Amino acid sequence: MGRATIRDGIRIARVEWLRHRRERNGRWSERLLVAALFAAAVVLGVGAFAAGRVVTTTPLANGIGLFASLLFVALVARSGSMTHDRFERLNETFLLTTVPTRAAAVGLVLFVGARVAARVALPTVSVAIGAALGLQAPVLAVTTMVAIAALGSLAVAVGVTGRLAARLVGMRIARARLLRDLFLMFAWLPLLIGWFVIREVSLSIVDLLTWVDVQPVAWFGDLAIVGVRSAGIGDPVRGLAAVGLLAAIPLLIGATTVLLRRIWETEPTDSSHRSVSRSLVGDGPLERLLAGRISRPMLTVARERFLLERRVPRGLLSTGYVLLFVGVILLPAFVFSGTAAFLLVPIVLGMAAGITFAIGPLEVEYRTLPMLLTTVSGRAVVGGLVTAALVVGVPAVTLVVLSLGLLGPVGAAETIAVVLVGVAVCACTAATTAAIDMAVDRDDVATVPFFFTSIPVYAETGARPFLRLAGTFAVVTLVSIPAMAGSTAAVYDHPTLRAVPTSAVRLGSLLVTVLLALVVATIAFRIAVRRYRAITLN
Amino acid sequence: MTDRSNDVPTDASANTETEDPESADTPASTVTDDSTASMEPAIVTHDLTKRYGSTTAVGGLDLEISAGAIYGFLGPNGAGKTTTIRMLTGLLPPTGGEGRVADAPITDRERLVEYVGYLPESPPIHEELTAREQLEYHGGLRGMEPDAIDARVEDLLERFDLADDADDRIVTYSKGMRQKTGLIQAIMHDPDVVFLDEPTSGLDPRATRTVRKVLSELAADGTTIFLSTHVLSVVERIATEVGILYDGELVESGPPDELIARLEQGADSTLEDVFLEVTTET
Repeated sequence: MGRATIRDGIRIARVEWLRHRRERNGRWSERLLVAALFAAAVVLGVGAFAAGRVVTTTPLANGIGLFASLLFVALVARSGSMTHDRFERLNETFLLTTVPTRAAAVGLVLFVGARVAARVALPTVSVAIGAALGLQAPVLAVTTMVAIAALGSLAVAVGVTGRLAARLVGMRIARARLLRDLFLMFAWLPLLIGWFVIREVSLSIVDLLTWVDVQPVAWFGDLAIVGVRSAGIGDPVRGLAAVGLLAAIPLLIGATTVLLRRIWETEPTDSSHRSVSRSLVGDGPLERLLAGRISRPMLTVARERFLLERRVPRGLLSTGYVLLFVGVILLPAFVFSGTAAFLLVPIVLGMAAGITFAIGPLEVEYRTLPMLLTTVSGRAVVGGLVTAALVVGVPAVTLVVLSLGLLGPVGAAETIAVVLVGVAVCACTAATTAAIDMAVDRDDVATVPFFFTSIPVYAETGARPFLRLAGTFAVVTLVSIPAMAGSTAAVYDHPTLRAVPTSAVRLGSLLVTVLLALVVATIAFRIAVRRYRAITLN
Repeated sequence: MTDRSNDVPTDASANTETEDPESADTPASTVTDDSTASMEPAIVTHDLTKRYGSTTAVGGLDLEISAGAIYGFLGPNGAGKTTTIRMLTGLLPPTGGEGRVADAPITDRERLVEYVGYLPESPPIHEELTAREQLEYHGGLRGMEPDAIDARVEDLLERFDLADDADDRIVTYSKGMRQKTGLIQAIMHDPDVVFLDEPTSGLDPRATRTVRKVLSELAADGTTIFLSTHVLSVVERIATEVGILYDGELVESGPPDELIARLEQGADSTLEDVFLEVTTET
């Protein structure tokens, strides 16, 4: 690798760093992260100091190897994620016509390395100093920092190369991309299965630690403590062998160059994009169902939403957050309050359908916004989003709830009321999501890599999308409270309600939620329309 | 190129190579028709101003553009052309003055959408869709009936030589193909006023000629074309009126022939000479 390549690589990394800083400039989440890093550094430093004090009396060698392995895995994952994020923003045309691809590869690796270093530098120094003080071995501070720097460098090279390799596979084989994205979405499942397997085969933690400790990555743990042989821990030979692992870094950068060439030059287009057109106004089930009942523009917005969701299912992925919210908040709340779990079904289905088709309208329409704003009214856009949600939500809620109602002890009237709750929650969720997401500032939207597609997808960056989603969840949960309360034994069996039949209490509470959801949906609809009208393009 | 009557046969004869000779490009004869000149103005602005802090992007713009006119809106980079178009299409609120487009105030976007078509510099299209899907989407949003959309889309796709690629996803398109898709989208619903920001950007000569021809036909049918471009030859050929914006202010306006005649540089003067004359610091 020539000096000019390294020099160009450094320049590229510096410019990308500058771009990254300006993209993130002034965000409160960044300041929060810095504060968290300081806090983590203090905690880790104190922990390292305490560990240093007891190291002579406690066999910590396995622990150090495990720590090194976990740190390596974490840094590889973080590097991959940063590569994924930054790669989309590289100006490939400019780079390809300005510098050799090798320089671009070096620049990308250096940029990711610098970002990783910015995250781990402070905790590293803190751990090194804490451990050195604890063990009263000044040289340990140096060896620890060297070991973490070496481990981090290797992890960055592996992370960048691995991420680009995954991208190339995704570009070459559409099915592989689908499988890759499914894996990323449901990676927790094999991990869970793996955990059960480990439990079944009675693999002990000690066995696991012993296995981890003999892996090459654990050698960096030995490198960290190579200067404190007097403590009777670590293996200096393995520590020096860890340095030898660094020889893989130039090879990995070479692989990165090859991958970049393949991605940018050999595979410039994805053949899977060729397809037939699907009609957005012609005959179809939705046309037969709704044409004439709602306006053509509203119907078209709904159909376009279905088509885009079919091509890039970003809304569908958002239902993962619904499941998370339900699993972490609603389900425990239902269990602890003794609320009938049956009610959870329409709420979940309604929320999922509402969020799938109403989330991020300005992000989905980022490219076409000038056309949309000069073509169609806010009423049609928001109505189209709610229509899309209801077209899916109504049959889903009806089918599932009626099926469960037939199987369970719930009466017909209550079953129908529960269906209405699901439908109303669906409309409420869609309108609320649209109202909240119509407030997205277009300047905060940027291209991000996304599942299921190699086309850059526009999305609001930072923590704000999650806060918006939390807002929707909060509103819908509040709306659902009457129904949940009425379906709780502690409420309908309460002495003050003894005169009222239980079924009447339950039915009444369900209908209150329906009414409340429709009122909130109407208000949210108006807010969404008003916000759409207020959008400007500066 | 000052005598526009000379251009008509040139274009018309050229059109016979690829297009219906009966619909030859006859902009001058249509757009200078007295009947269009006497119509109500389609675009009117008075003292239209846009400021960003202490910077004035557009200052005190007065326009009066007749229905059926092709208005060539010229100016150097950063003169305020895109800002003006965004204000006229309701995408950007002015900080001062007022304006109306086809009788709708420019501050009322919900009314404006009924009258306008718009092609910004970057075509507003979904890369995930095919051109046909994108155009159907736009037609549906406009409330056009499916049959009318099909007929209009087919016609325009054929004319812009895009029919064979209409079922490929836009992500696979070249810049020119995207531009054509955006242009078809802007005009497919026969709007009263069309705002075009660099419509010929990335187009090959044949497509550029088609654009000129289609715009002339639209103008002949009463559509007002507000055309912002740096390709002065296009403006020279089809515009009935030209406005030159410089540093946010309209420094020159009038029919191209008149503007050229005002120059005292001889018979060979062109619109480019006018442009350079009025946009050069003295």
